[in-house]
Amino acid sequence: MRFITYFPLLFFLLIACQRTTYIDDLGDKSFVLINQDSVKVTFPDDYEGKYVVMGFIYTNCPDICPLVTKNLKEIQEQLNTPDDVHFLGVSFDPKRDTPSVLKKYQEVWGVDKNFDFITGDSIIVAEMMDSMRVRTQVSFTTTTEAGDEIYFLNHSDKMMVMDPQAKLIIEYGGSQPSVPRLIVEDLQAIR
Amino acid sequence: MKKTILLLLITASFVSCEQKKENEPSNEAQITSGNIDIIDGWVRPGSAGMMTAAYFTIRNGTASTDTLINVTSNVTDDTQIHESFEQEGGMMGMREIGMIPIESNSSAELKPGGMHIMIIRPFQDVAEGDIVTFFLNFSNAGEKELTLPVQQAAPAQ
Ligand SMILES: [Cu+2]
Repeated sequence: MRFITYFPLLFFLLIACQRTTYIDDLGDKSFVLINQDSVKVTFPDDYEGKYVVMGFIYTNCPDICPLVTKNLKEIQEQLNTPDDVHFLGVSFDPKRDTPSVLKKYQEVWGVDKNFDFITGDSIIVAEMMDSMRVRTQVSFTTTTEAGDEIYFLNHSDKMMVMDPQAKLIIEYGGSQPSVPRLIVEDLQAIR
Repeated sequence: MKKTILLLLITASFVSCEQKKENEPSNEAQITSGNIDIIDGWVRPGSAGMMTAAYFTIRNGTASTDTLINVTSNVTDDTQIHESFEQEGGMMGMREIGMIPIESNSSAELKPGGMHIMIIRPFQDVAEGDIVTFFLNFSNAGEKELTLPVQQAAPAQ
């Protein structure tokens, strides 16, 4: 009987904790980037007032990164594409991921409503990745039959949720199959 | 006490909902020549000049270990045998493994987040509904032709 009495108390305590703790406050940051349509994007300023679910990718990554993109798409579908939740695929390979490359990628994935892929100047992208604690390093290069050199990247596997006040509140391993369920549950609980 | 019973009931109903359907074994062998079988294959959609990947399961029903040593495809000049792996600190990486040995009476599963056939810079868009041809070279079984559908996810099992 005792547990029953304490259970609601514990529950409210948990909710109270969720409201006051966050991973990072990006309110004082301002990164000027560009989306797949070559439209200027200022992060996080442009998204204040909305929840943002973001995954970190590079389009020359055909195995892990599609799992991240697929998870983003699944979360949006499961939430029924709400207007107060914006989705971002943020590239950490701006050298190759130009707006037109990201446009193609967006078309292949069949997402566009409240869903952008963003890139930008290498230095600004690196600063943004730093503040998100997303790490990348060249893992290896290979030379094609045509003689072109291609590099691959090791990278953090991350998906994050930012709240309407530009606070990072949720973080998971971006490619994990359980992530859509977890983030949908989290968003349904806090929105 | 009533509440406890209610709580238990609710928990029980959640648990029963979570039970998964049993996996039905796939009987769609895409090639069955010899005793090396390739099943459940698919190719992820991708754009011309970019990267994509192919996945399948190799079953070795022969009496000895066989090794996949080389793969070629009609959509690119550059195909590699790769593996994704997790590093320290939540980092994900990818490396070329070059070959896949499959012991007698066992299988090797190529799947997202693990082993895959890397399709580097395809000549054309590889779109959902397309068919891609591969030639798989095994050290014992020799060359096997494989045609795979392009789709968004692994075939339902
Ligand atoms: Cu690869």
